[in-house]
Amino acid sequence: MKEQGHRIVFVTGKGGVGKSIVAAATAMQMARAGGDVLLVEFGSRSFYGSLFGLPVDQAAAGEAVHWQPRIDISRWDAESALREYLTHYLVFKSASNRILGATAMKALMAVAPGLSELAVLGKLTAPMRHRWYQRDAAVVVVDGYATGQFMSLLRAPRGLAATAGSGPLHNQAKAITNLLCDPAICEYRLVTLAEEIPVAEACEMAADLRAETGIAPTIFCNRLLDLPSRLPAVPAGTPAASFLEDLARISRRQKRGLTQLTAVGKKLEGAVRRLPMIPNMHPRHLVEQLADALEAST
Amino acid sequence: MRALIEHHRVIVCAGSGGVGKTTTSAALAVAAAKLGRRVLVLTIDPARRLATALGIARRADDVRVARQNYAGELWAGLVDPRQVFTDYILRYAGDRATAKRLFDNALYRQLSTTLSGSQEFTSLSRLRDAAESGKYDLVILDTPPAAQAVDFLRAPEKLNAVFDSAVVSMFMGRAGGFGIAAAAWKRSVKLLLGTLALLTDSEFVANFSSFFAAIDAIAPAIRETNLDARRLLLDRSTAFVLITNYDAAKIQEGEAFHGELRAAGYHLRKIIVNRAWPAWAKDDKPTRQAVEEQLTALGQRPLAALHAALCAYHDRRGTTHIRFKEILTVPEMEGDIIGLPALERLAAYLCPPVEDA
Repeated sequence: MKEQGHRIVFVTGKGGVGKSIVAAATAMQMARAGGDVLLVEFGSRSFYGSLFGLPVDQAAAGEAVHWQPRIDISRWDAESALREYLTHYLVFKSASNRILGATAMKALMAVAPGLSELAVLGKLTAPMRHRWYQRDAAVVVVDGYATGQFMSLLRAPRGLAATAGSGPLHNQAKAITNLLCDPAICEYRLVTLAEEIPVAEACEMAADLRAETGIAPTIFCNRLLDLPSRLPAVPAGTPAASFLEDLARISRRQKRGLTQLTAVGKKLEGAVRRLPMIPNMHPRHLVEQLADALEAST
Repeated sequence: MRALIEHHRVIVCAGSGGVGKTTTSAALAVAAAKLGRRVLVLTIDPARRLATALGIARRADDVRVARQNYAGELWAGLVDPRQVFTDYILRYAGDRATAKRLFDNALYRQLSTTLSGSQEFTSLSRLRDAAESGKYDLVILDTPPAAQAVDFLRAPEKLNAVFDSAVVSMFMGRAGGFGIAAAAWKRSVKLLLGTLALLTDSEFVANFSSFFAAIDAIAPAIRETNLDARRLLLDRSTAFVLITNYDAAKIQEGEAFHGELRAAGYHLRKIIVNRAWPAWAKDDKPTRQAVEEQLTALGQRPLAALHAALCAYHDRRGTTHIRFKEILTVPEMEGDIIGLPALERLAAYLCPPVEDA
């Protein structure tokens, strides 16, 4: 399996926990370790394009844009991935263009359950399934969807394999499912914050991921403040009082969150890692410092 | 904020995931009820404890929130896409046999849950019905979770791709017109179905065709709801509120959303920036210095440094440039906002009570 294809690192988490930044930092971490990295984002509009000032949206869907040494960024959408897939199966290219240009194509994608998800996952895993499919990357880091949508993405191949009873699509869906469950190929990173609702959601999703793929995700608890185990007490009304009160609250929240996450990590046999709060607004510096933290945490 | 709540019939709360949209929508509803309005807040995916606090954990109909003591009335409703589609089918499918065929179709079973745009459509459908019911002075819609705020505006287009009359007709084999264009259309649909048959099996294709045959019955009603909803959203009595938080990416997104709303003729009335900063980050310079001196004197140099770093960070966040003027920043609130009392605290911040003379 190893001589062909690449590894895949999926990064997911609840909205607002810093998932996309952690994905970018993961790409940087992988690039530093050696090997070319492709950072893939989904959706109709590029996040990294506006964040790093790159022409990701201007590039044709699926085309990679160079970000920094060893890292390219690419935005994929389901429609162009499905087009790529169907074109391969349609012998006559002129006929395929006529079909794929039509509104019927949009309707098909909207209705057929899991077809657009399968198209994206199919593209992602193509180098591992086809000798003719070349991708110059040792690792693909996927800035996945948020929690619920990400689980639908992962479940799509299994669902489609069941609906499309037999035929090539069925077999491909099964092959993709197998690849998603292969720990030699896939790694899942689940980002969360040490706050009540994100932690509860992360615990639930970690169990779902493990059940779906058999692989325990690595949980990254993001934006932690480095606080002493015991905070000093000051009289109320003195200057530092409200700051220290706030820190005490944050400290309790962090401890509680980490305890819960560690318990889940233990149960699922997955690691829990800590990432610091980085008080920096500059996107590039932020990603670099987070990549340092990722290296330090492993 | 008070004018916003008092002078509108509909408030649409948009924003990307993780910015506190649902909580803020609920708090706005509390503020409106306090001002004497009969208000309904509609939400699709509330955190479990918020749903419990509002009493909508497992309810399809709107409920009057328990333990309230306001001048107006606070109601809450859960948008359940499955339920909304079921209602459409029962109402418009004509006969039971058609309805049953659709319920049994493998593709339909995915329609209400995974079809892109279906959450937005069902939210809008509920919004329209509630706004027209006459039961409420104000309806607040918490838009479905999305990666980006603009996704909400694009959803109807996506759904129209399925319910478009031409598409439905074509898949059913009815020619939607004459001439070369219609013929080419028909050919391409045939070819597409042929390709599908090659890739899957005939049962899958049969499913596909029977799905379109079945939704033919409800497609006109769905299109009409989409049109009504669009009209309602464009009305001057409908206010859009963007809920966001302070980071570079979110601010950029806010600007883009503002532009897109304006271009489409919607009325963005307010941007609410959540968790803008903790109270201590607003201290003036001498106070900050005093904090750091006190910490240093306690032998807590690292904490003093942390204080300085966080204050500087919040200052930089505060200077982020935004063109839009109607902005309300909300400080970091204590703890998670879950129960009704916590919502009341947030409501009091969003819309401070006016002292009566």
